[in-house]
Amino acid sequence: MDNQKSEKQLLFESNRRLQEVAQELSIAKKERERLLDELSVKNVELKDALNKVQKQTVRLMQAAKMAALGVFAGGVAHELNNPLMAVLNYIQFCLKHLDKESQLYKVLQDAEHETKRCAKVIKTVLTFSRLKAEGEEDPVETDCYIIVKRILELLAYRIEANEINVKVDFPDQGLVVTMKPSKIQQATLNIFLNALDAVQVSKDKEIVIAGKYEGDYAVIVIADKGCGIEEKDMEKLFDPFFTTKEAGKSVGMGLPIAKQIIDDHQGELIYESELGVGTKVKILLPLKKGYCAINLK
Amino acid sequence: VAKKILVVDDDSAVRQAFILVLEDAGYQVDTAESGEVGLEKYKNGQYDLIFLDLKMPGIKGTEVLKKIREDNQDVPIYVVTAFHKEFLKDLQAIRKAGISFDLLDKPVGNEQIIAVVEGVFGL
Repeated sequence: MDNQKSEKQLLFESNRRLQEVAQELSIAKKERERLLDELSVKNVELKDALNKVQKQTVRLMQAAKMAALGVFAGGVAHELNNPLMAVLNYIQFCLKHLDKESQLYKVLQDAEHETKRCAKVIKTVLTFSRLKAEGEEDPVETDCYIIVKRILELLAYRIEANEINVKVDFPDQGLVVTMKPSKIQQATLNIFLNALDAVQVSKDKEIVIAGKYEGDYAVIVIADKGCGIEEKDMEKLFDPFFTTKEAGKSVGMGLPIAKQIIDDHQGELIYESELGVGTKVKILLPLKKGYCAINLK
Repeated sequence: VAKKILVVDDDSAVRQAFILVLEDAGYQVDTAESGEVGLEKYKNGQYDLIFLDLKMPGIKGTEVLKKIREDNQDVPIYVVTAFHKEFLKDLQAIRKAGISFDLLDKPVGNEQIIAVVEGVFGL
């Protein structure tokens, strides 16, 4: 009888133990699932972080490359400036003393024109190489709309003469960013000039220039309905001296200069383009700390 | 009497360009290949106008400018340079100290040189 009771007791104990183990297993399984979920989230976070680091590395390498190129190009430009000034004056001296009917006069006029073209290239290269070195402008809070207005005033004649329809759309409360205004003006102008060239031959001569807040950024959007950019050219857009315009029309330094300026402001320059449809450029400028879009709305 | 102009520039091609343009216009031109030589020539000659390069080996153009101004407040001095942005702080400090000068951005062409000279001499 006692034996029977003891066996029952043992069975009961074993059963209870089994249930406990099953419960522990269930908890462990849940914990494992939770950990797996956590791991998965961490994995995504890690991938994001890696992605950011990779992007940042590429950006830093690109910045270092551009800085080195800037120093080199600046040095070459400086060396060329003096002889170029001499050549220009020698040519102009000859032109002054030459009979205007002479066959040589026209040749020298062409030489003068081309020398001035060289001087323009050198000036642009010097601008590019000086971007980092220049410290004369302190960053100040500036409304991007003011920058855009100045550009439109500067180009008013060209816009009107070419019958280009420029639509401006900025928020009423402004789009205020801490920036070096003349630098941002230069970058925006360079991008806008490309848009002007792009719509020159298109049927729909329209450019939209808009301002908005996007998260922690103030964004200036320049969208044209121009010729667009070929896909093969997209990755070369910021390469110094790269241009798709006809020889003599562009030095190919406008966008590298713009990129350098935007990078210096810790911003981003995003290009989207479709051949024959148009190009949309987004200039992203970080808002100052505690001055995010939400506060302004 | 022809007006006397001093050109201080370490680049012989630039000096030659100035000589060509200015002598052709009837001015008397002296040149110096360094700041040191420029100061020496300034001490020994009476100049009506000075063209001065900024970036030169030895004494920099800004120092030459200060030294000339210690002695003479009146002679017009044109700083001719492609480096005015690099020297901006120096030039701003000089101007703040009341030292007068004008700036010409290299490369300077024939017409611009003559326009400057004629402007200075009121022609």
